[in-house]
Amino acid sequence: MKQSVFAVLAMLAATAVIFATFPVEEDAIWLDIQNRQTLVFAVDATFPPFSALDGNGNYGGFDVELARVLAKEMGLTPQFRLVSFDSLLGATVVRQADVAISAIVLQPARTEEVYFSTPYFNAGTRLISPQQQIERPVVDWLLGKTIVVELGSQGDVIVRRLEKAQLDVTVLRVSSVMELEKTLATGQAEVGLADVVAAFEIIKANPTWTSTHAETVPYVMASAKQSPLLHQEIEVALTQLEESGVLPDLRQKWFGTEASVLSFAP
Amino acid sequence: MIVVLAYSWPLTDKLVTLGEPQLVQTQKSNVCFHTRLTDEVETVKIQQTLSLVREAGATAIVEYFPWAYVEGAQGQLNWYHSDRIIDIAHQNGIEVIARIGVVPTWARYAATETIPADGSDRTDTYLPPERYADYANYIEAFTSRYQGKINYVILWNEPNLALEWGFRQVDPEEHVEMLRIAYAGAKRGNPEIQVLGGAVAPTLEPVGSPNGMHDLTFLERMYIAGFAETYDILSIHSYGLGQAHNIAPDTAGLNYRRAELVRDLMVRYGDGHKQTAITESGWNDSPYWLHATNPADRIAQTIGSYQYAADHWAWNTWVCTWAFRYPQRYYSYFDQYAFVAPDFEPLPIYSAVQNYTQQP
Repeated sequence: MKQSVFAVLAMLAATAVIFATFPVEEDAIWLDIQNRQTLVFAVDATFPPFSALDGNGNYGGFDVELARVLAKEMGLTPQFRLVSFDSLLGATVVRQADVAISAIVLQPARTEEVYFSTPYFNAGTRLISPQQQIERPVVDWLLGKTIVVELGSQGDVIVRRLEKAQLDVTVLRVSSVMELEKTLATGQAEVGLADVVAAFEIIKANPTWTSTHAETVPYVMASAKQSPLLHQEIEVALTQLEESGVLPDLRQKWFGTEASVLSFAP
Repeated sequence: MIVVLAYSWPLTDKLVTLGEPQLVQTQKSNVCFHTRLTDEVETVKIQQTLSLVREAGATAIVEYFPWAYVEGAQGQLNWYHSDRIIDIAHQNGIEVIARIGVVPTWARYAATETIPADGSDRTDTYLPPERYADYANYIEAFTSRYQGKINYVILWNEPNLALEWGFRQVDPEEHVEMLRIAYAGAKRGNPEIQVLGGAVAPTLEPVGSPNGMHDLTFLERMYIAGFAETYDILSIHSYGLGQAHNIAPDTAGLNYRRAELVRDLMVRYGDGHKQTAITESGWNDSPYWLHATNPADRIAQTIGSYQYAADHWAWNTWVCTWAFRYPQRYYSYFDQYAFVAPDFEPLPIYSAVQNYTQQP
């Protein structure tokens, strides 16, 4: 997963080079945005808790709230356009939207078409334990322990690697996150592996438990390659939101205290 | 360095040999995967992917063969990529259902139009009517070249989505016109080829939506426009979308058995004598996607869908589940459709399907 971090850094470096060479005065998209004073977000509203529609058809979710504060930070009015996930990046290329947001992960293969922003959230898989401390190196700490995972999940994939390496671990496979939490609570397993949002929910319900990233998957926004200035403005606004505490507060509101700080897997 | 590069590329490729012809060992002949070798570079990875398909007990694959990869410049055909996939699949005893799409840049514009100097402003699903004949000529060249190895082709993909129609307003009548010309091309190249048409995306898009058209509305308008004359087998996309495989279909919702509503339409328009093939299907186990299910349920529903089709749908041939393996991770919900990871690590669902195909 560290490759993802390096990929992000490489992207930022490449972006800096592009800024230095691109004839920014020809940035028609940014001029258009300034003229209309709106920032149009392409959203797939089928990714709760990141982006969704409520019963009245109103947009909501962590990503949608982030889009609103981002637009405000840029002095613009946010507008949302419902787009299926497959079309999110393409919608910015054909100028049906300015920015795509909806639990998007940086895709190196698409960097010729779009800019990706710096990450604003780390998804992935987390270790959870009712014990007070998860010691490092984590693999050593896991030896001799019973690990519970959801059958077929990414956590299951991870523990199958441990089993294949014939490490001294016992694996319990259950069919839901609720069962996973119950297995930990009843002491049948000492550690669990769960998706980050489920893990944060479990930690909220069991505040004395601990958790840490096992794998990180950074979420980013995308905007059209034809507009380096828009990308630049998004980066400036995101940085400001992070430093001012607005973005950490938003993460805490949606996912709990542990989510407020961006962190990568050890 | 130049010397090393000059020698290493062809040498690496030459080290991959086809080996002895193989047979798929399976008890479930309708199990099929939609592979995604489109962007796979190394021959050894194509070979490894298709070996895993065979070892899973799947008799067929749907694979995407981009027109743009072969005819990047008009009239100049380079078959290197498709030759490798088709030869290796053939050697593994796997039937290939070839889906043909991706419009080359030159074909996105009529001969009278000019391609913008700063690059194409049309996506690779934009085919103007003036280029239908060029698409048909390519299909003809494809079916002719692979006669004896490719028996099935799918023309176009999900034409009821704006995304798949060059971000234009979708148009069932115009799509049939394109199919009519392309179908003739396929038969010119190989009169025995079985052409799969339809492949509409399951969607409930409301009237006037810029994103696409309701699948059954689109298909019905296609039939009225003469669709029946442009295909031999109906291609159906039928995803589970979080529902169990055996839930009855409903015009107001999407689920696996929506295939039965499509079949009803087919019969109503006098095409009941033809077979269907589910060329895209499957369940997703993304933790967030509203239409996903949990990973354990995904395994149960996927296996249930193969068995349900075998038990109840005599009119259907294969159930091809999306997507066997991607060359690289998308880091999105797409990844939660896969059976094998990009690094060839079989995922838990792969082992479950493999066990299923070996049971009587």
